[in-house]
Amino acid sequence: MQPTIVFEPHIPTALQRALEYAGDKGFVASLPQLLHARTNAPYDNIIWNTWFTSNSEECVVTTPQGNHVVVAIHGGGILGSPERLERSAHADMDHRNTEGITGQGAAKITRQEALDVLDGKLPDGTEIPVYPFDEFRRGINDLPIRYGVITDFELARKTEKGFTPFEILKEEPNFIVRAGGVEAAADYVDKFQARHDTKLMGNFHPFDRIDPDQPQTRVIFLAGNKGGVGSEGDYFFGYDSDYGIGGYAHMIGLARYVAVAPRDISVSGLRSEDFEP
Amino acid sequence: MMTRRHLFQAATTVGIGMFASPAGLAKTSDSSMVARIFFDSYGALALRQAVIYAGDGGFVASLPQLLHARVNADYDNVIWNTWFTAESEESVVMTPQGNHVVLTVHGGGILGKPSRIERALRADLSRHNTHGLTGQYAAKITESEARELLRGRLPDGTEFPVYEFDAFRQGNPDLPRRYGVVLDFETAKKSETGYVSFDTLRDDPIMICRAGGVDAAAAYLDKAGKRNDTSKMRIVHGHDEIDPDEPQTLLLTLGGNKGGVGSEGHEGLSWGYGEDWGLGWSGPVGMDRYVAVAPGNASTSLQNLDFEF
Repeated sequence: MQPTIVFEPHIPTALQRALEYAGDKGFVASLPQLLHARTNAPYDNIIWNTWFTSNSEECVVTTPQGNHVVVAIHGGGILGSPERLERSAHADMDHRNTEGITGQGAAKITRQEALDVLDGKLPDGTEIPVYPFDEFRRGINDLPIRYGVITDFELARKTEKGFTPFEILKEEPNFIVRAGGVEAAADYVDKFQARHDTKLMGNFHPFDRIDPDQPQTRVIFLAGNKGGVGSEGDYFFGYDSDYGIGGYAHMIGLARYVAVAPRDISVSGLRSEDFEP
Repeated sequence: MMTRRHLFQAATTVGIGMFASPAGLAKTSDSSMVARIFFDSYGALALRQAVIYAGDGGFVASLPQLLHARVNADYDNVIWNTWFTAESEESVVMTPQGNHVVLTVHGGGILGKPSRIERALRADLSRHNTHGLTGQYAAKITESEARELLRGRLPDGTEFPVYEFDAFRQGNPDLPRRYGVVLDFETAKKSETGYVSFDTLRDDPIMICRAGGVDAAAAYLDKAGKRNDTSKMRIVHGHDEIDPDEPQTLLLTLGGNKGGVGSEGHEGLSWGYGEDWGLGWSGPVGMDRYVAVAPGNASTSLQNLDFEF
């Protein structure tokens, strides 16, 4: 399996190219997959030294019982299709509209999309397992690439945000969900901490500054810069800040996905020496 | 509810005469010029389409032209009821004497070329790089581009007049479509930002530069105030939060929403793109909506055909 980085100044175009590369047998990396790759990579690898867009998203929806919840989807959710991203971007931007982008930059989703995602049904017809947070926290054997986790909105809203001590992060519900489980969260945090012997890492969420009555979803970004400079919040300024894991990103603008697909480099790869006379 | 398609259809109601500001008026106000809106979720593509549509005989509307169009339009016209990206920009550069200045260019500056925007977006996005974007998403420009811009010269060789702010403030009846205004950086930095009273804005240096002069600013403020009997509007600049030693360029934008709701501010969560943010700025990242004007004949276009059985 060969990974490739796909960057575009336009999220739907980046996702389109990443999906095309992945094909039927590959995948576009989710946040747990990006963190797993970092955990197993040396710090001078590119995976540590720039930011990425994950194929993971956080939906805020209301259950049929009237409770607000956060449904995290890893491996491709509602915004896992370029067409759906474009639909939001090309909708009327009037703040009263039921489509488009919220004032905080998330993609508005329909009531039906919200209800379906609670049941693990995605707009493309795919069905995925959806786990309640308490069950997910205890650990799930054989997690698939694509799955969802439901967390109570109030719990998510009250979760620490900002630059947070590693020991607290290991217990934070949002971070556990984002990382793909308790163990994955701990592994990543340990590796992150050891990079510069730091004490804090950024983990941001928008849940205390949005209207949860508006169904919405947002792709999650993983921060990074060359050398991991300022990862404790001492350079929290601009897109190349190492702010850890985001949550405020607007669904418009730049994107950098990692796509992974079967490739036989021995027959399809270009070698530089072949071009030298 | 106004969708992109509705906006597109409504574009024909943006009369060309509206866009013709002082000197441009004589050249462009004939009825064979047709204005169209170009929106795309990828701003560089929107600009590319607008530039292609404008061709050699037309133009992409600058901020003074957009404001002029609003002054001459009914409030229910689409020009008042959504937001636009202007073919205008603000650059922060250093003069050969070592002074920081803000150079406002209307009618196409460094970011008037989609390829230049692409270059910034596809550069290494490290803060240490001399290309790419600043932390505030402005496009970093080279020392050479900055120096030439001050001399009224673009990378493609195009030349345009550059006026000192004090002279510009006195008024110029023969302003071309493309020109620049140089304003001392400290003056720009101290200019009002946020929701500001119309009376204050009439004398605000950045407002005057962006609007295309004292008279143009006053005309727009009068019309904007009468829309909903308001007393202030938003104007935003980021000159107090940037590093002026880094040569950089930002696009200018014009806020708007259906009805001009909340143009004096509103309570609660932000409305994002739905805000009536007045005169703002933006990096070349994200969605854009330009107006392009080109020679055409509305009577022979598809606009008036009936496709429904």
